[in-house]
Order: sequence, then C-alpha cells, then structure tokens
Amino acid sequence: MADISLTNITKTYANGVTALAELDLHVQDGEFLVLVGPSGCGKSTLLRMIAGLEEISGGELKIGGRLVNQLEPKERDIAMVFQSYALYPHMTVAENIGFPLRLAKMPAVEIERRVADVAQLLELTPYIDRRPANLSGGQRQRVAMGRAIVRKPSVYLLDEPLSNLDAKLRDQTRSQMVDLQARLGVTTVYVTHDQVEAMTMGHRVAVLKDGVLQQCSTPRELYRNPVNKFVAGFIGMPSMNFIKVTASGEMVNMGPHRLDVPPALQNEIVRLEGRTFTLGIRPEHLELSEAGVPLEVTGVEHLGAETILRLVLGDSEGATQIVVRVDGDKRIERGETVRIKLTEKLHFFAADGVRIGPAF
Amino acid sequence: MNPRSKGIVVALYGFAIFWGGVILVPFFWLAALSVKTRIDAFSVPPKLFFEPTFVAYSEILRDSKFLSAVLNSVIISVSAVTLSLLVAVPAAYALRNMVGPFRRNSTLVLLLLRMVPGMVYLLPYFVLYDRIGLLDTHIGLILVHLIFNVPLIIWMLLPIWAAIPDDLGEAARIDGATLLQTLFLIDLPLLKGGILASSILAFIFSWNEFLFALILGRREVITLPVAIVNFLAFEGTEWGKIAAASMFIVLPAIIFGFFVRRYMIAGMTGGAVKG
Repeated sequence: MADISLTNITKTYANGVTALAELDLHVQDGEFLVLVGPSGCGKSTLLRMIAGLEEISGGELKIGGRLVNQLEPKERDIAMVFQSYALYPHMTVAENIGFPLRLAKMPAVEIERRVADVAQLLELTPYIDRRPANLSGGQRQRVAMGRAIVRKPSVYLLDEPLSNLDAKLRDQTRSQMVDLQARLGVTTVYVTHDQVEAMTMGHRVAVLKDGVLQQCSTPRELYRNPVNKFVAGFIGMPSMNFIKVTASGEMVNMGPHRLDVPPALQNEIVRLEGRTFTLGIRPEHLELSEAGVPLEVTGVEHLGAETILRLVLGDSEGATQIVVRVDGDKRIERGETVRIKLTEKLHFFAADGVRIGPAF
Repeated sequence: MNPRSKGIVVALYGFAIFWGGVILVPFFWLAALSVKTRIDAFSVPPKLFFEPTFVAYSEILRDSKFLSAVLNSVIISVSAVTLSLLVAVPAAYALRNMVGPFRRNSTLVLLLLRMVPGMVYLLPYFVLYDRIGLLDTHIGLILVHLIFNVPLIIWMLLPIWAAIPDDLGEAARIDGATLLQTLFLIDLPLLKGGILASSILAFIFSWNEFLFALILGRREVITLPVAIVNFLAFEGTEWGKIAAASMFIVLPAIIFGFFVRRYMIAGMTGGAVKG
C-alpha cells in the first residue's frame, strides 16, 4: 500500500503549451480519489504522469514516499486500466490477466493460481479461454481490471474505465468497483469526466480545469461549499443556476425584478450593499410558492420521482433560464406561469467567480 | 438488383473474362509448348490437340546448369527475404513509433528508393562489387535485393502497424514489458499476417529478379531467369526447355499468389483491433 504525493507538478509540452500548472495533491494510503473535469482539463495527462507514460516537466511525484519522477512504469508499483481496456487481442482472458506475472517471471503454477483467483473474484472463470473479441463490453472491462488486480500493486490508476459501457451496466459496474476497492484497500486514482461517477465513487474528488486544480474535497463538501463558480456549476445535476444580481437593502435586484432573501441571509446581503455578484442556486433549492416573481415554464422533464422545470426569468434586457427540481407528483404543464422563492441554501460568487459569503 | 445494375454486372464479368483471356492465352500457349514435341511446337496452324510429352521437363531436370540455377534462385530469394525482414521489421517499428517531422520524410524517401529504376543502382553497384570482390557471389546478389525488398516490407507493414492502438504498447509497458518484449510479445503476433504477406511478395520479387542477376551474377551465380535466357543458345533456341523452365519460374508465384491474397486481407484487418 502507498500514498501518492504530488508537489508542484507541472506539464509543459515542447510547443510551450502548459497542460498542468504547479499542482499539489496528496492521495492518502487506501484512498479512492477521483480526478474530474471537462475534456482537456489535464486529468488524463496527470494520471499518465503518475503512471510514468508521460514525462513530468517539473515538480516531485512520490509514491509511498519514494521519488519516482524518473522511474519506468514497471518500477512504480502501479497498475493501470485504460479507457479502451487495451486488452491483447491475440491472448486469451487467462493470458491477458497473467501477462504481467509472466513478465515478472513468476512460476507457471503460481501464475495459474493467481489468475484463477482473480477470475473468480471478477466472475470471469467461464470465459478464461476466450479471446477479447468474443467477450461483451462488461466482460472486457473486467478482464482489464483483472490484469490490474493480479499483480497486487500499491496503486491503481483508472482512466475512464466505465465510459465504454452502456448506462445500466455502468451503474452496476460502478458499485462493484467501489466494493472491490474497499475490499482490496488499494490506493486508487480514478479519472472521469462524469460528475455522477465522481460523486458516487470517490472518497475525495479533485476538480480540474485548464490544468489547474480547483478544489479537492469530499463529494459532500464539493456539493455544499464549492470554492468557485466553476466547481459549483460542474458538480450537481442539473447544474446550479447562476443569476447576476445587485444587493439592495435586504433584497437583491435582478434587472427590474426584486427577489426576497430568507431572513437568515439578510445580514449577508446588507454587507454586500450595492455590489453586483452572482447568486448560485441549485435546482433542488428553489421552491414553488404563492408569492414571488412570476416565471414562464418553457420546458418540463418528467423523470418519475422528480420533475425538472425550465423557467425563464425575463425582462427587456434578456432572459435567464432557471432550472427547478420539483416533486414528481406535481402537475405542471409547459406554458404555465409559476412563482418561486429562494431558500437559505444560496451561494454567492464574486465577479471573478470566487466564492464569497457563508459556508454551510 | 435492378435490371440496369444487372446489365452492368454482366458487362463487367464479360470484360473480366475477355481481359483474363488476353493475359492468360500466352501463358497457356507457353504451358502447352512445354509439353509439345519439337514438331508439334512449330506446326502451322498450331495444334490444339496433341500427344503431351514431358521430354523437355526431363531434359531440364537432368541439366546440371538448370538445377544449379534453381538452387541459386532458392538460396538468394530465401536469404534476401530473411535478411530484408531482419532489417525492415525493426525499421518499421522505429518508424511507427517515431514522432516529429522526419517520420513523413523517411517514409517518402523509402518510397522513392523503391520507385527508382534498378538501372540507376546497377552501375555504382557493379563498380563497387568489382572493387570489393562481391561480383558473381550469392552475398552480393542477396544484398542488392534489400534495395527493393526492405522498402516494400516497410511500406506494407506500416499501415497495419499504425492500426494497432498505442494503448496496447502502453499497457504492456505498465505490465512490465521492455521495448523488445513489447515488440515480440504484442506487436509481432498481431502483425503475423502482414509479415507473411509482405515476405511472400518480397520472395516473388526476388525470385523474378533478372536485371541485377544478369549483370552482377555472370558465371558462377546464375539464377533461374538468367538461365532461361541462356537457353536461347547460339546454336539454336531450345523452345521446349525454355517453356518448361518458365513453368518452374511461374510456379511459386502461382502457389504463393493464393496465400498472399488470403493473408493480405488477414494482414489488413488483423491490426484493426477494437478494445
């Protein structure tokens, strides 16, 4: 087992493009850390740098306290699962899983025993003699996992391992992987662009944008106290609503509309008197009410247990779309007018996107 | 299929049969000539039905010059292909993993080397071989065959190799494989079909090669194509022997032709590995 510590990690390509800038991150021993961010944010590059497939331009990478910047992947005691699975097409499932052991010159009997154990753990025993071409997507994914597990490395690196599976299988595999990781207790770094995977799988989630680490916290903390507008908008489905407002007395002005702020937050608004800032409201933190600003319903998505309403808050200068999540039993049709009120769960962001105002 | 496209298919088949005839008639004429007696061979009009005789075959099989030519051709072709593979496979591996501006240029240079007519190389090689004593040796001819075989094999392997995803090599690296282990345990098994197909083509090119063999081979190292020309003797041309010997030259091309077709397809699709 091992922890991973990244200090001042930088990646600059030959053409001068910086993929990662002075990144500091510490992954604890046995932790399941998820790297998440939009495509091109540098998350896969970071994973590949930990793996040793990508050179580190600057900073220190330590695995289990050992500086590994210059070490070959095989010397880092890591295993990696690729998005494409990267199974060897000319080898059977058993040969694929046993390949790292064969390279390590382990005795054939021992290889056979360990491959059988892993195959059983991953329910691959019936397919042990098949080639990857004759396996389903889920089975291939498990073979790729098996090849990582069989070596008993100190660190697993997983690069979007579920993105090639269909939705249902993905949900199922997600919880299996969480169970597996908890059982094996191996330090894991998991890259995904899917915030649902990030929130449901990680002990902690590191959010990256444009090569810069935005926030690394527990899923709960990310959801409740995002450090900036980007993290706030990235985490949560549907995304947080952002409304540009000006503080005025104990209320906020949004164009010609005045929105009432719950009493608990009124002091905060008074403190911001006259300032223009962004109000962040999660769709589940808006409530329909009798009074308040009237909004037109432009879209209704019935998801069963809940309904997503798309509302337009408009004035002469333009329209802001607001998404509200309401109970699935409510019957609201497109074209109706509803009124909403703010709850206490509001986020304030300054013009540069940084969070201001109280934490929850 | 609608009547119009049916018509096109019939027309295409008709053309293919006609063209096949144009190409194959001389071949059949040669094949027939190899089993005709001298008298039948020159009767006018040509006899379609005749008593076949294998005199020409038994003559050339007893002709020590012919037999040594067959042996020379086998030695040179097999060695040239083996040596070409030893050079071309690692070269293709390097080119496939090469990055930067030189990659495209190097493959272009290879193509140009292959396209330059053999005559261009002939004089420098003749002078060089004369100086270093490689004239009229097996090794000399074998080395010269690398000029056209190495680029051929590289050019056939590169697209197949490029189709093998980078992930596989990286996965092998993570699994603890060295570069050589990745080459031998991952890449080469996946390239089997392509290597076989390109080897067979290279073999056929070497087997048929005439120009270099004629000029650089001379007396001691006479290959099959050159031996056939030698049957056009001053004292009178032995048509039966020429025809029979020609059938020997064509034989590997026909046998391997079928293989190449099969493995060309296997080679082209074998690399297309999907996750």
